[in-house]
This record gives sequence, structure tokens and C-alpha cells, in this order.
Amino acid sequence: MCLILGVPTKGEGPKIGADEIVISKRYQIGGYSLRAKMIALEKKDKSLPDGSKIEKGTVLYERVNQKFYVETDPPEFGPFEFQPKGRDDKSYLFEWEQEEEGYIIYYNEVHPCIKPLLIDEEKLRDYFTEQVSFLALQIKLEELIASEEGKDKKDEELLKISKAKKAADVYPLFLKKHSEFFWNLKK
Amino acid sequence: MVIKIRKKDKSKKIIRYKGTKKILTPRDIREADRFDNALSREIKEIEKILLKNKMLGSEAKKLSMLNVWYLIGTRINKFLEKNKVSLGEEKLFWDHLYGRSSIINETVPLGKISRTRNDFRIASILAHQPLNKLQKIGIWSLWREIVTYKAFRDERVLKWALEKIEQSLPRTRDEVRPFLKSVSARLKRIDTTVLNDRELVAKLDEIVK
Repeated sequence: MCLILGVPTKGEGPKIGADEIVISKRYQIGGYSLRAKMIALEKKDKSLPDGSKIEKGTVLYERVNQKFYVETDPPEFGPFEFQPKGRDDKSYLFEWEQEEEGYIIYYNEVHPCIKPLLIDEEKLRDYFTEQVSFLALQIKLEELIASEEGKDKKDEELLKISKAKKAADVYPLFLKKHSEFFWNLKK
Repeated sequence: MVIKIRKKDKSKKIIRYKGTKKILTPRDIREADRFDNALSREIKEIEKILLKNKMLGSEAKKLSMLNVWYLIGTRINKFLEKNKVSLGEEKLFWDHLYGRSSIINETVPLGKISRTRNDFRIASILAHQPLNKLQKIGIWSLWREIVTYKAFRDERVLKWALEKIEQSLPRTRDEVRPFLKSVSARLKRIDTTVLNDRELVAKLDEIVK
């Protein structure tokens, strides 16, 4: 396997540096950062755009920072964080809380739908990926109701639901039924 | 790994678990709790030593900030040897050491503290040096200032600057600050690793000429 480095399309003079790095077995599992900078090794009668003279040691270019991951996934981004908060309650599968950076989705780790997945993080991730679309829809709906009506005209269907009485109850009720159904089915 | 953090939302205390992972498992939470309990025990131990050695005056004022922070830095370094913090969670770890002990920090900073100005992290860096060497140069606030400048990451620059500071008494932070700033400004665009000792000192000597 090799990492292809970006090659600048503009510039004067010969090309400097390698085009690719071979990821050999010497690399351990984890995240790596490849950083590079160009440093003047002698004094020059030239100046940088900011007016500073080029002397030995002057950093000419340093905006090279290429991250790569060997046999591991890059850190996850997104507005949702999943945390376990279990209780013996058939009607509870997920609940959520808004915080500064997004939402914390609490999941019921004792729920028969989730409990068997805890030994395999990949499966747990797949399950949450399926569920997150429903959760996002409900969150969006709640936000829509809380905001000025008609603010988000991109989603006509959601807007229609939000105008209905107790529209925010639609999904929790659906989730409750869904949860109870799977509790009985899987237990 | 995941870090257990305590937040205040109005008057309500809330607990959060944060890390680079977006899906936390019960095992992550257990590990974060174990780490947090060990850290709490360590902080209690630091508090006991500070009180036993009478390092704190009335109203918990630190009699010698340098000695107090040196002790904190030493204990934290030992703690981190046994309880590893991964690179991704390092910032969270340093940020949330504030607010854990009213003896160490009387008040919790309201705004965010940058990584370079975090007292615990600075204490951890300084604790790798002998205490008498630190005491010879100056007080905690002066050391705090020195550590925040990138230029002093080169040991040779630090050594040169300390010699100059030692030669000029008295040494309060405000008095030394212009000197530290001029060293930093002189080396702002320079990567000193390609300079030999003679070349480096020649550049530094331009500052005091």
C-alpha cells in the first residue's frame, strides 16, 4: 500500500520531495501525520513576501500536513455522539439531549436489540447508522416546531407535519412501539 | 480512551464522557470511570501533601507557587506513567484538570485556557527539570511565561536565555517579558534545528547587542 502525496501544479524550479510513501509493515496500527517544511540552508539576497530577509534557517514553506491512518478508521465527526445509559424499560431504546456541539444520543444497553451488539463495535455502529436517520428526523422536526414557522422551506413534508397538532409526539410514539415490538421479539 | 468531564449548566452539575470516538460502549464508560477515580485519588493525595507540608497559607493561598506547581507537575507525570492518555484525548485531560480541587485552583477559569497556558501542562513540563535549577531563575509566573514561547523548545535557546536572565537581577515576569518577546521575535521564522551552536548564538547575540 502507498500514500499518494499531493503534487503542486504551480511553481518554479525542479520538483522537490517524494510523490508517495510506501506503507510497509513497519507501520503500527494508528494515525500518522506527515509534516514537511522547506528551510533555507543558506543566506540569500532575497526577501519573503512579508519583507523578512532569507537567512540560514528561515522557514520558506511549511503548509504540508498530510494525515493518514494505518489499519484503523480516522476519528469520527458528526453532530451525534452515542453513549450507553441502560435501564430495564421496554419503551426506552434511545433518548437524546442537546449540547453545545450537537446531540448526545443515549442508548439502552440492556435492550435486547442492543445488548448482543455490544461485543462487536462494527455491528453496533451499523445498527446506530440505521437508527440515526429516524432520530435525525425527529430532532429536525422538533427544531422546526421550535423555530419560526416556515423558516425551513426546503423540507415541505416536514413543515407539513410540524403544523399538525402535537407533531413532535409522532416519532417518540413510533419509537416506543418499535422498541416494545423488538423487545418482545428478541427477548 | 474516553475522559469523564464535569460541567456546570447554570446550577446543575452534569457529567459527560468525551473522546475521539463518537460511539461509546459500556466498556469505554467503565474505563473512563476507572481513570477518573484514580485521578481523583491522586488529586486528594496532592492536596494532603500541600496541607501537610504547609505549602498553602491562609485562605488556601499558595506560599510558593513554583514549589506547589512543581509538586503538582511531578505527581501528574507519575500518574500519567501508570495511566496513559492517548494523543487524541490529551487536550481534554489538561482542560478538565481545572475545577477538580478548590485547593489547587480557588476558582475555575470561565473561558477556555489554551494548551500553551494550561498551568497543569506547564507544571508537567517544568517537573522534568530539577527544582533548584528552576528556583535559581525565578518565580512560577516567569517560568509560565518562558514555557509559552515556542522558541524555547530548542534547549540551546533556553539555556542561552536563562544565562542572560540569571545575569540580570531582579527578575520579575514584567521585567523579563520584553527580553523573552525579543528572543521569540528574532526566531519567529527560523527553524533553529539546522543551525549549529555558533550560528545560533550569533543570531541570539544580535538581540542583546
